Amino acid sequence: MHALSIEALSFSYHRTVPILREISFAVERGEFLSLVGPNGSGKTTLLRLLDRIFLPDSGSITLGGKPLGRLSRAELARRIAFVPQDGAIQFPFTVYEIVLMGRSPHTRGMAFENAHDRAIAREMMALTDIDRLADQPITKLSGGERQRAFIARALAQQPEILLLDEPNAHLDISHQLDVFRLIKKRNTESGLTVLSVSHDLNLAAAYSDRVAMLQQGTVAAIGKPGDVLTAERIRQVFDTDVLVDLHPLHHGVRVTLKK
Amino acid sequence: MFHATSWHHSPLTSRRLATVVALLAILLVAAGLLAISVGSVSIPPSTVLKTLLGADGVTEAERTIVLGIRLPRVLLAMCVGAGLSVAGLVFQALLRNPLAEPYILGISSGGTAGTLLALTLSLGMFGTPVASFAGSALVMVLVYSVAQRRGQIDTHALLMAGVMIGAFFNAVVLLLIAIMDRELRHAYLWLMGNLSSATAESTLLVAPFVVISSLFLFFFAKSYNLIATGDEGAMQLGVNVRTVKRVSYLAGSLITGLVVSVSGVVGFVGLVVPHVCRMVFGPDHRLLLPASFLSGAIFLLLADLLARTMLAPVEIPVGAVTAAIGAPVFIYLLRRT
Repeated sequence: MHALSIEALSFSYHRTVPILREISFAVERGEFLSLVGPNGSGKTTLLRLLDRIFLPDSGSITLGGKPLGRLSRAELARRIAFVPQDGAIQFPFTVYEIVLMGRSPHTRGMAFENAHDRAIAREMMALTDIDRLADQPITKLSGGERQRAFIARALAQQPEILLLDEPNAHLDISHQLDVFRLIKKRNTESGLTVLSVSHDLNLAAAYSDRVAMLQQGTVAAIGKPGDVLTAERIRQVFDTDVLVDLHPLHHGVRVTLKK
Repeated sequence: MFHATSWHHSPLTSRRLATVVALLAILLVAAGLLAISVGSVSIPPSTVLKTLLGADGVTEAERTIVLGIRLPRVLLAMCVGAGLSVAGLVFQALLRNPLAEPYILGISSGGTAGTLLALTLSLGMFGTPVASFAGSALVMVLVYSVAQRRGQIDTHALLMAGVMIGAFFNAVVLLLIAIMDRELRHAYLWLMGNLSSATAESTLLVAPFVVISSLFLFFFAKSYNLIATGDEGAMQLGVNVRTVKRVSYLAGSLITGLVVSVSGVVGFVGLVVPHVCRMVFGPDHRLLLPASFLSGAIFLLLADLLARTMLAPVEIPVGAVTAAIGAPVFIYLLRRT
């Protein structure tokens, strides 16, 4: 059974500005799928629809065979985690407190997090290499550290599916790799299904099982990175001339600018 | 922008919550006894306690002063302080802005206009708080819709909208005072935020609502933590953000409106108290909410004690005391945001 199945999904802002037009595809269990495409192609909107932050105009999303609309918000939060692009936080929660928030869909009502929740939070902080920052206020962290704290919070939800919106937006090249490696590790070792919006075609090619390329609210292509990321298609969709060849080390595709 | 203190370095436990609440409750009772015993006639705290417990050995005069005059005022000060602090804290969490506060957002002015309108129209004891609530809620909705751009609330737009809409409602208030000139002086004093007209009735009217609304809001404390880190983040963690926000804004406006209808505009309480609590106890709303409730009660109790004793026998409005403390704190916070 598919982890997620999207059928004829359409969405528009205020029912006038179409963002997604009858999109259909499925995500397999344990798959790492990257969503690429130019700005405004609908990638982030699609993630928001998949976590029911927006509601579609038409079409359907099913999660493990069950329509998304049938799940309560809390149930959804136990199965899908979404790491939005971060905004500034004004209040000095510590990193540990932020990561513990990931346990809230699993704790009942007013209850405090128990030893089990704390153990999971600590595990996720260690995994994202922020355990030494546990007692630091989130307001004092760099963009990259904050990003990892929010990834740790999402992992603490213990979801089946992780949705990431440009996880490398604020990161330097070493931290970009760190984040992709740790998510990939979660993906291969724990079977976490990953859907990631990415602007970096090379990272998408290196880490994804499949790539979906969006263009003006439709899926222009979906498949193995080597089949989707062709020079011809990138010129059509991104309006940019690139050179695509094989990476000398891992033999995946490599995209470079011609100039 | 805030520093974690020694009190706040590990996540909140139910034990720490209970300890802090118990400590603050003891402080509140002590401050209450002090405030009842101090005045033009001073009554020893032990006598106050005896009177409150209905024990023997208390003169009729003492009983009248304690139960008839000072206790209602002290209880009202507690309610006003607690209510404004909780309302301020909740607005701050929802707007993700430590500068949000009933007075600065103009919500208190809306409540004042509603109250004066009710007095002008002689709507009576129950009509007045309802009109006050309506005025507060109206300003909340206005400020929110003016400050909102594509779902985002901009700090500067929010503060400007609050000040401007507040100014408009103050103009309405002045107009209403001009119409009801016979009670001008009384109304003017009342506008400044004053607890001297405290009666057992006004306290009994406000206290249950403030306590019940605050208890009700406490059930959203966990959601406020998540919302304080971002609306989408809170939604994806299972919070029904729209519902929580609507209900909380409504309850915050209700508290503000009721409080204003009995005390007038007492500014900055909802700013100062949550700020100090956040510094001391950390940002977890499960602790911040009860801590702000109790600390707000203590703060206004002491501010009112200062207001009625500092220049005795002349009384200064408690709103002047809270503004003298609150305005510098606001400027300090604004510089750091």
